Amino acid sequence: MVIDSCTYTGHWPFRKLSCETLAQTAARAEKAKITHIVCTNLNAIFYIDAMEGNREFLDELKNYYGKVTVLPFAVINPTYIEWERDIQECAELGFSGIQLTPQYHGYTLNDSRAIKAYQMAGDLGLTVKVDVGFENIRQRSQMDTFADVSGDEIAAMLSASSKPTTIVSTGYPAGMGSAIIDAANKRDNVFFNLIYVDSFTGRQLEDCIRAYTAKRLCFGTVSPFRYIEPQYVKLFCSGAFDSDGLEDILYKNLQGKIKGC
Amino acid sequence: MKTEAQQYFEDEMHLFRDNPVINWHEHVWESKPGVLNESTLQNLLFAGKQTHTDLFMISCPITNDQFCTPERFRLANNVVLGAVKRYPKRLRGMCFVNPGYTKEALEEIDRCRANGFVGVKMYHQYRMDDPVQFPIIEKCIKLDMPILMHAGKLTYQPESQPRISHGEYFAHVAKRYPEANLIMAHITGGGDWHWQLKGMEKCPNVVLDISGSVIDSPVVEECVARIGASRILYGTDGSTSSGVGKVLAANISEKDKKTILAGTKYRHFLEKE
Repeated sequence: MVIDSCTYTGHWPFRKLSCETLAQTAARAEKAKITHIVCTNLNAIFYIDAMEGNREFLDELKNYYGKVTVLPFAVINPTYIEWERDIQECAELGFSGIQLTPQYHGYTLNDSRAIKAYQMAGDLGLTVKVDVGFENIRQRSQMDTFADVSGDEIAAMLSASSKPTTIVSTGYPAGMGSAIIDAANKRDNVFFNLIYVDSFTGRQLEDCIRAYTAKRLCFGTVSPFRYIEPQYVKLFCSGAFDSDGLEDILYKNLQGKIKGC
Repeated sequence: MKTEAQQYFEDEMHLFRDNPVINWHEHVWESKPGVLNESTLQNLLFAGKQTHTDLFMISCPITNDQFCTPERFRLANNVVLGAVKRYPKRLRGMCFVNPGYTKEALEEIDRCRANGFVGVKMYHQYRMDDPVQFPIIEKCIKLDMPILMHAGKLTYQPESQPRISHGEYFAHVAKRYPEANLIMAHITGGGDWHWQLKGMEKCPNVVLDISGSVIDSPVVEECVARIGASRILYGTDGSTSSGVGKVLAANISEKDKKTILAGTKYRHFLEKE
C-alpha cells in the first residue's frame, strides 16, 4: 500500500502538464505501485466559483474505473459567497477532504474565514490539505503568484482546532519556522509530505525527522506537476529510514486518518 | 520483506546498476579557503555508491565573490585536486576560474589540465557572451576542453544573479565559436527551463546537463524531443534524488536514457591523459 498525499487532475494555466485527467493521473500512480491518491481538481482553484470545479471532479470520478483508490479533495474558497454551504455540501457529496489555496484566492490562513473553514472541516470529519506552493518558485510564470503560504500562517490555523487531520504539502517541513513545528507537535494528526525535501548531500531528511519524527511525515508526489520516482529515490536510497519508518511514511501514518483509506 | 513499491523501484534502478553512469555536474566545497569540507566529499561518495554512479565531474566554484581573485580560485582548485587524488576512479576535476583575470585564468587552466582536469567550470562572475570570456573559450577550444557554465533564466528575484547566463547569451557564444564545447548547466535547476531549452535548439555545440532539484514532468521528455538525448548529460548538482529520479521516470526510450547516463557525446573528454 502507498498513499500519495498530493496529486491533481485538471488544467494548469501556466504550463502544459504531462496529463490533465483523473484516469491519466491514476495510471501514473498505478505504474509506480501507488494504491491511493489524494486528488484535487486544478480547475476548481481557478474557476470563479470553486464548487463548479468540485462538481466537475465528481463527474470525472463517476466515470473512473481504475485500480487506484481516489480520495477526492474539494477546493474551498472561504472568501466566496456561501462558502460554509460549500463545505457542508462537499461533506455530503462524499469528498474526503478540502484543500485551501489562499495564494490564489486572496486571503491568508490566519484570516478568520479560513480559521472557520478549518474548524468546520474538523467538525465534518474532512481532512484539510494546504500546498505551500505549486510550481518551483524559481521558474514560475510571470502570470503566476510568487507568494507561498508561510509556516506562521499554517501554525495559526493549526492552533484554531485540533480536530481536522491536516496535510501540509510541498513545503520544506524543517524550514518553515518554529511556530509550525510547535503547533504540529502538539497534535498527532498533522502530516508533512517530503516532496521538496532532497536527500543525501543536504541531509534535509534527517532534519525533518528531528523536527517532527517519522510519524508525522508522509509520502507525496504532486503528480502530474512532478515526476514520481524522485520521491522513491530519497526514501529507498538515502538510508535515512528503516523498514518500519518507510512503511510509516508510505502509508501507515495516513491510513485511517482520511475518509476512504 | 520488500513492499511492492520498493520492488518496483529496485527493478527500475537496473538502469543505473547495469549501465555506465557519468555525473557531469557535482561539487566539493571548502570549510575555509583551500581546505576541503570533508563531509561534502563523503556525502557525495555515499550518494554515488547508493545510486551506482561510476564517475563524478567535480568543481569548487566561488559562488559568493563577484571579484574572486586568482589566489582564491587556485585554492579552490587545489581542494578539487586533493579530492581527485584520493579517489581517482570516482572523481575527475573541472577547473574553476574567474575570467576577469585573463592571464591568471589561462595559466590556471594550463595547471589544472596538467593535473588531469577534464574541463573548465565558470560561475556568474561574467555573462557567457561577455568579451572577457573569449580568451578562456579560445583556450578551451585549443585544449579540447568542455566548458560547464552556470546558467539559468530566473523568473523570481532575477536581480540576485544579474550576470547569470541564459539561453540568449549561450546562443551568441555558440554562434561565435561553433567549435567550442559548451555545457549549459542545470536546465532543471536554474529557472525557466522552457526558455533555456528553446534557446538551445539551434545551437548544436551546446549540451545541457539535467542536474538540479527541479523535477517538473515532462522536462526530460521535452529536452529529448527538442535536442536529442546525445546533447543531454546526466548530473545532480547536490540534488541526488531529483537527478536519479527524473531519469528513471522520464517517458523516453531506454536507449536514450543510457545515452544520457553515459554522456556518450562527451565520453571522449574522459579518455585523455
